[in-house]
Amino acid sequence: MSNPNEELRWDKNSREIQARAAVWIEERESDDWSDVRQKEFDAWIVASPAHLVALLRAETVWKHADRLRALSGSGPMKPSRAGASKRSATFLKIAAAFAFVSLASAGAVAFFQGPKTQIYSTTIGGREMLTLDDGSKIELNTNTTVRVAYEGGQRNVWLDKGEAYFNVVHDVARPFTVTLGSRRVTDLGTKFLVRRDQDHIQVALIEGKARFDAALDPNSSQQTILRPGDTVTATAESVSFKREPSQSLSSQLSWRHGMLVFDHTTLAAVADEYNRYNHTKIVIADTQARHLTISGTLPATDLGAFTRLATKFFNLRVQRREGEIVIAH
Amino acid sequence: MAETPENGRESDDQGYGAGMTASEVNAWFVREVLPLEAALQRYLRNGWRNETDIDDMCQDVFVRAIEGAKKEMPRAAKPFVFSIARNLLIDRLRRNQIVSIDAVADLEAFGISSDEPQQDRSLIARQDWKRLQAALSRLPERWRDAVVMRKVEGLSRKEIAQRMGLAEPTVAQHLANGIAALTDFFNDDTAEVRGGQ
Repeated sequence: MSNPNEELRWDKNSREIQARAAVWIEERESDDWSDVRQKEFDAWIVASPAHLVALLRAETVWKHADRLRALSGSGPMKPSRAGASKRSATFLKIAAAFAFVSLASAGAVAFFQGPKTQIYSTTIGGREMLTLDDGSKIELNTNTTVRVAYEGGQRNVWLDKGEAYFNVVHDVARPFTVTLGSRRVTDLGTKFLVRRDQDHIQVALIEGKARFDAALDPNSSQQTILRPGDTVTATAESVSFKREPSQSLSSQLSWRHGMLVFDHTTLAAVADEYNRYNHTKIVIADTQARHLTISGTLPATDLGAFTRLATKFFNLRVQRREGEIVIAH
Repeated sequence: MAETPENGRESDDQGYGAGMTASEVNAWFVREVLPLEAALQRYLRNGWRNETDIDDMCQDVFVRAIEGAKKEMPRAAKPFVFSIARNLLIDRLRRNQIVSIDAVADLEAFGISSDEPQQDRSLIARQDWKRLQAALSRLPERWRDAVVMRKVEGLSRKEIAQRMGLAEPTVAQHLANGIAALTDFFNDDTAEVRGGQ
C-alpha cells in the first residue's frame, strides 16, 4: 500500500506528531491565531498523512470534551466560585510552632484545638486544598471539617463532617490514618475519597491500597484491605463493600473541579447533591418529578444550570422563594 | 470536522477516486475508523510483543487506511482496517525474521466480521461519556485543571494563566499536553502519560 520508506519516516515519530497536533489544536483556539499560522498549519497537514491522522484523532477527542460543558447552559460560564483557583493568591503560614501544616488557601478556616491538633473547615459551596509538610494532600469538599494531628511517629486525621480526597505520601514509619467516628482508614500507599453524611460514611479507594477498620479497637478482626475500585459504606450498624472498575469511581471525584456528575440519577438525588453545595435549597415538590432521571455534568454551585434543565428537558415549573427553589409540575 | 482543513473536491491527480472529497474521507475516518482504535491496539499487541512499537504501528494502520480510502472507499471499515493491520503485522514479522505460528491472529478469531449490527447509539454515547470522564481523571493535575478551565468554563489562555498563576506559554503547554494525553487515554485505557516537558 504505502512504500516501506514512507513507513520508516513516520515510524519513530508518532509521539512527536501527536504532540505537535495538540499544540496546533490549542493554538487554533487562542487569540494569537493568524493567517500566517493558518498557512503554516495547512502546510503541516499536507506534508504527511500521518499529520492528518494525528490531527483528526486528537481533534475528535477534544470535541468530545465539549460535552463536559454540554448541560451548563449556553456560552462560557462565569467562574462559579473562587475555590481552588485562588490557591496561588494567598498563602497562609500557620504559626511557626505548627509550620508542618501549611494551608495554601484563603477560604478554609484553621484554628488550634489542643497543642498538636489543627482544624480545617470549608463552608457550604467551599472547596480547598491542604498540603501537609510531608507532601500529603487533602482536598476538602463543601461543608467539611477535618482535624489534623502529626505527632511523633503518627499522622492522624479525623473527618468530622463532609467529604475529602486524600493523596497520601506513604511512609511505613509514620502511619497515616483517617478516623470517621468509630471507623478508620489506614494508608498503605494511597489515594482515597472519604465522605461522612449524617447516618453513614463512605470510603472509596482510587489508587494504591488501604486498610479499613470497622472498629477502632486494634485487636478487632474487622479489618479489610481495600483495592482500587473498592467502596465501603458503613452505618452505625452495618458495613458493606462494593467493587467496581476503579475508573468508574472517577465521577465521584468530579467535585474536585467543581462539577457534579450524574449517571441515570433521580432528580431527588440530584437535588440532595446540589443542596450540599448551595445555601439555596432545591425542593422537588412533585412525587413523579422526583423519579425522573438525568445523566450529565453540572457545575456544583450554578443552580441556574439545574433549573434550566428542569424547565427545558422536563417541562417542570420552577418557583423561587426565600432560600429555596421549588420544582413542581 | 468543520475546523479541519478541507481541500474541497479535488481533481483525480490528488487521488480522490469515486467522487470522494478530502473532507468526506476525513469524516469517514473519524466516524468509522477512529472508534476501532482500542480493538486495533489489542489486535496489534496480540501479534507484536514490543509494546513501544504499538503506537507507531497503530498510526501506520490509520495512515494506510486513510490513504486507501482516498483511492477507493471500502464497503465496510472494520474488515478493511483489520486486514491492513494483519498485513502490517505479517510484513513486520517477516522483516524481523520472527517465526511465530500464533503471532497473526485470525481475524474471525478476533471477532472481526463484516456484518456486525450497529451498536445502539445512546449506548455508545454513554460509553464515550464514561471514557471521557475516566480519561480526564487520569490527567496530571495541572493539565487537567487547564483543560477543565478551557472546556468547562470557556476561559482563554490568559484567564487560565491568571487563575493558575502561570505564564501564558506554560498554560499553552499544559493545554497541549492535556489534549495529547486525553486523546491517548480516551482511545486506550492502558496508555501511560507521555513525556510532559
